[in-house]
Amino acid sequence: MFYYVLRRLATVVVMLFLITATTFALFFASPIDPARYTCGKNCTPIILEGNRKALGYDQPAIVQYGKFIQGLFVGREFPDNAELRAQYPEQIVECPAPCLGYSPSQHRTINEMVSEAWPISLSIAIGAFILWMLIGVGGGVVAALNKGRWQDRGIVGAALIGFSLPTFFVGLVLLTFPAIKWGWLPIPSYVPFFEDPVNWALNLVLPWITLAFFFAASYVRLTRAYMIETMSEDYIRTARAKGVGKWQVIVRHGLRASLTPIVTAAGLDLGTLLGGAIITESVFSMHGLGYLAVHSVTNMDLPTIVALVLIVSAFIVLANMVVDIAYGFIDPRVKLAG
Amino acid sequence: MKRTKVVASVATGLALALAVSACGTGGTPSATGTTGGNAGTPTAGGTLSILSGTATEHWDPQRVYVGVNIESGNRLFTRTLTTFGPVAKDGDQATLVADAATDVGTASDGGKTWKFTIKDGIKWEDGKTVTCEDFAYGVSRTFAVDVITGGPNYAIAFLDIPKNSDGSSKFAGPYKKTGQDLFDKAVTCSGSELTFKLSQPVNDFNMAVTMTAFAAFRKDKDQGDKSNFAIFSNGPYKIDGNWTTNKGGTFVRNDQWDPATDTIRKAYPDKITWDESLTQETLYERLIANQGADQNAITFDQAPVTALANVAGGAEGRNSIVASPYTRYLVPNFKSKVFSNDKAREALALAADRSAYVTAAGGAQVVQATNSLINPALQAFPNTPMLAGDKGDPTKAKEALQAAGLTAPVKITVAYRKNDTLDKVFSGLKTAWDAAGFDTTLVGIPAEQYYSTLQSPDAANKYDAYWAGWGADWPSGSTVIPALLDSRVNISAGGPGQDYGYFSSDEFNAGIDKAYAIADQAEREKAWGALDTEAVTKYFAIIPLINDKYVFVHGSNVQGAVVNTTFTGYYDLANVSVKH
Repeated sequence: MFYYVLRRLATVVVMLFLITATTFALFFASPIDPARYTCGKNCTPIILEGNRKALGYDQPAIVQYGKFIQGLFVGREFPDNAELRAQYPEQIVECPAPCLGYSPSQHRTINEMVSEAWPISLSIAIGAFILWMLIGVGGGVVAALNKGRWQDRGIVGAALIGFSLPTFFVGLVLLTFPAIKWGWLPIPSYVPFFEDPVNWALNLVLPWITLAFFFAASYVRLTRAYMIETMSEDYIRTARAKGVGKWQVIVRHGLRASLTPIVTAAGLDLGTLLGGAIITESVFSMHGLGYLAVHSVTNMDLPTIVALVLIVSAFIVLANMVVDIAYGFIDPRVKLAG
Repeated sequence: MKRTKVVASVATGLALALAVSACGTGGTPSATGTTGGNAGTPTAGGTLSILSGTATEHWDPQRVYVGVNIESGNRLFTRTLTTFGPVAKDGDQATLVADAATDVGTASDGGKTWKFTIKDGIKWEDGKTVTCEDFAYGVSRTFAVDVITGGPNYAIAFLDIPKNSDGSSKFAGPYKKTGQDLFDKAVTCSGSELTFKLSQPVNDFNMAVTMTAFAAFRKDKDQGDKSNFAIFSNGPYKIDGNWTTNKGGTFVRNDQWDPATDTIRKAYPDKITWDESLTQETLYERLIANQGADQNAITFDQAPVTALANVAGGAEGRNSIVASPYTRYLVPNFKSKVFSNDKAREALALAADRSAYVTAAGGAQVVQATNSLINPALQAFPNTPMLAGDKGDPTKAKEALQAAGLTAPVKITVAYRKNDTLDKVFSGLKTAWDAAGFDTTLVGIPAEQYYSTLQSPDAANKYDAYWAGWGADWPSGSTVIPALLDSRVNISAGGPGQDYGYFSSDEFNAGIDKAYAIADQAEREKAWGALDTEAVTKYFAIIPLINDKYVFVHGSNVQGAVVNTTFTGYYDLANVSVKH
C-alpha cells in the first residue's frame, strides 16, 4: 500500500511538470502578444519593449519556465529587474516558496489570488457535492427499489430534465427570481465560513442548487442502474432468505456493492469542481478558481494561467489517486499491490 | 486618440482588445430618450453603490487610460490641473475648467510653453499640501515605460525632451534617473507655478492635462507596480481599506478635502461602494429590477444586448441613451493594387451601404450613420454630407469603377474584427459592394489579434480595406486627425501605426501643421473638421460608417446622474446624490 501511494505520487509529480511545460509552450506559440494588452494607443516598438520587460516576457520561454520552477521551490522576487531592485527595494514584491508567480495584470502574487479564490471554490464544491450525492444517490436508490412504478418514472424524468438544462440557464433563473426579483435569498456574494456560517450558507445555496441540479441527475441514473443490477444478484436473495432486515439488505449488501463505480465518478467530479466551476462562479459572481481562470485567459496572463493549470490538474490527479486508494476500503475484492 | 476597446463592445463579450484605451469623449447633442437622472433637490449623505462588470486595470493615475477610470478617479480622488465640468443633461457640451490649477493654463511661445498655477489649500489625505513638485513627479512617471505601463504616452510625445535614435526618450523615468536633468528642464516648478515646455505647439495641451496621467503623485508614496491600486487621495473621497481587483472597494469622505478649493465636485454621498465582482448581465438584471439597495445604484457598464429590450419598459426614467465616443470606419489600403486608384476608393465609398450597418448593429435606436471621422460630440464635427445617402449608390459607384479603368468584377479583400454583429454588418456591406461591381472577399480576424494584424507590415499585401474604430481622448480633432492620418507620425518600417491604409499626403500633412498652430480654439477645431471632410471626400482615405450609442441605467433613488459625453462619456459622479 505504502509503495503503491509513493509510486502514484511520483507519477503525479512528473505529470504536473509535463502539463505546466506544455502550457508554457502553448502560450508562447500563440500569435497573441501579451505586451500589446498593456500598450495603449500610439504604441511604439520602444514602449512595447519596455512593457514586455515589465510583464517579464522579455526573456526566452525556457528561462521563464526555469524561473517558475525555481519559484516553486525557493521563491522569487518581482519584478525581475536588477536595476530597480538596487535602487528601489521597496518596489520589489517578495514571493516566498512555493511561489506560483506574480500576475502582471492583477499586480499581485498568484499565491495571494489563489488563497482568496480557493475557499470560494471549495465552499461551492463541497456544498454542491453533499447536496448532489444526497439527492443523486438517494433518488437512485428510491428509483431502483420502485423500478417501473411512478416514483421511478418521476425521479428518472426529473433527472433527465436536470441533465438537459444547461448550468448557466438554471443559474440565471435561480439568480433572477428567488434572489433579484423576489428577494427570498441574498444576491450571492461570498461570505467566509468562519466569519458568519449562516450567511455563508445562505449566499451559497443558489450556486449549490445549480450545480447539484446538474450533477445529481447523472448520479440518479448511475445509482439506479447499479442498484437494480446488484439487487438482482444471488447474494441479495441469499441474504433475504437468511432473514436479514430489509434496510440492512439494501444498505449493507446492495448499496455498498453499487458504490464502487459511483465513488469513481464522484471523486473525479469533485476533483474537477475543486478546480473551479467556471459557469456557476461566473453567473453568481463568485470569484473562485474558475472565475480566475477565465479572467486570466482573457487577459493573456501567463503566470496565472500556468499556476491554475497546475492547481486544477493537481486536484484531478490527486482525486483520481484518492479514488483508487478508496477502492481498497470499499471493495474488499480490490487489493492494492505494492 | 484611441482605439475602441472590445470590452465596450457588447456584441463580442470578449474581455480585452489589444488597445487598453476606452476613454475619451463622445456623446451627441442628438441623444435620445435621456433623462439626466431623477429630478429632485440633491441632499448630502447616504450611500451610492457602483455596480460594475468590468475589472479595473489600474488606479495609478499615470496608468489609467480607460474613460471610466479617468472620470471616476478624477471625481473621487485624483484632482487634475484642468478638467471638464459637469453638465446639466445628457449630451450637453462640457466646458474646460480649472481643477487643481487656478485657471485653465496660459500658453506662450505659440503654444510651446504652458504654465499652470497650483491652487492653495489642496491637500493629500494625510494633510500634506499638494505641491507643484508632486505634479512634476507624477508626469515624470510616464517615462518609466518598463514599470508604469498602460497609460497614455502624451507626456513622452509632447514634452521637449530629446529622443534617442531608436525613438525612445532620453529620460528613462524617475526610477532610473537617466536623463533626469532633461526632464527637469522641460517641466519646471517655481513656487506653485508649473511650466511645461513642449517640443511642438500644442494649443490644446490644457485639455490633454485633464487626463490623470498628468496628475500629481507623491514621491514618498511611489511603490512602482505595487502602487497600481494604492489609492492616495487629494479629492473628496478616499479608499477605506484596500482596493481588491475583481471585488472593488469602499470610498469614504476625505476630511482633508476642502470644498472651497473645488467648484466641480458636490460630493453628496457620504459613502460610495464599488462592486466590480459582477457580470454585466447580472448587474443590469438588478438595476432593472430596482429592488432594495440597488435603488441607490449606478453603473458605468453599458447595457448588454440581452438587457436592451427591458431598458425602455423596465427602467423608464432611469436610463440614458447617448452616443459612444467612437466612430467606426473603413480604411482603403493605398498600397493595394485596386485602392491605390483614387476612383476605385471613391467607388468603394459610393457603394458603402450604411443603412445595412445600422440594421445589422441593432437599428436606428442604437446606431447612427455618419460620413465624418470626428464624433458628433466634438466641436470639430464637420457633419460631412453623405456622398450617396445612407444606402449608397451602386450605379454611381459602377461609373466610378469604370472611370478607374477597372473591369468588373473587381476582386477585393476586406478585413474586419470578427464578432456576430460585424459578421452581419459586413455581409450587408458586401452585398452593396458586389452590386456595384466589386467581388468582395470578407476576412474576419479575431478581436485579440485584430489591430496588431492591421499594424503588421505584411497586412498591406493581404487586404484591400479594413474596418476600424476610434474615439478622441479629449474633445478636439487633434486627437483624431493626426493620430489616424498623419503619415509622418504613423508610417515607419515597422508598419503603418494607426494610419492603417498608408495614406500619405504632403499637402494634408501641411494642413495638420497649420491646424496645430492655430491659437484660436474655435478656429482650430474648424480646421480639424475641414481636414476630416478633405480626407473623406477628396482623398477617400477614410470611409466613415457609423456612430453607435451606449445605454446606461441607474437606480430610482439616484439623482443627478447625467452622462458627461464631453468628459469620457459615462455617468459623471460630480453631482450624483442618493435620496435617503
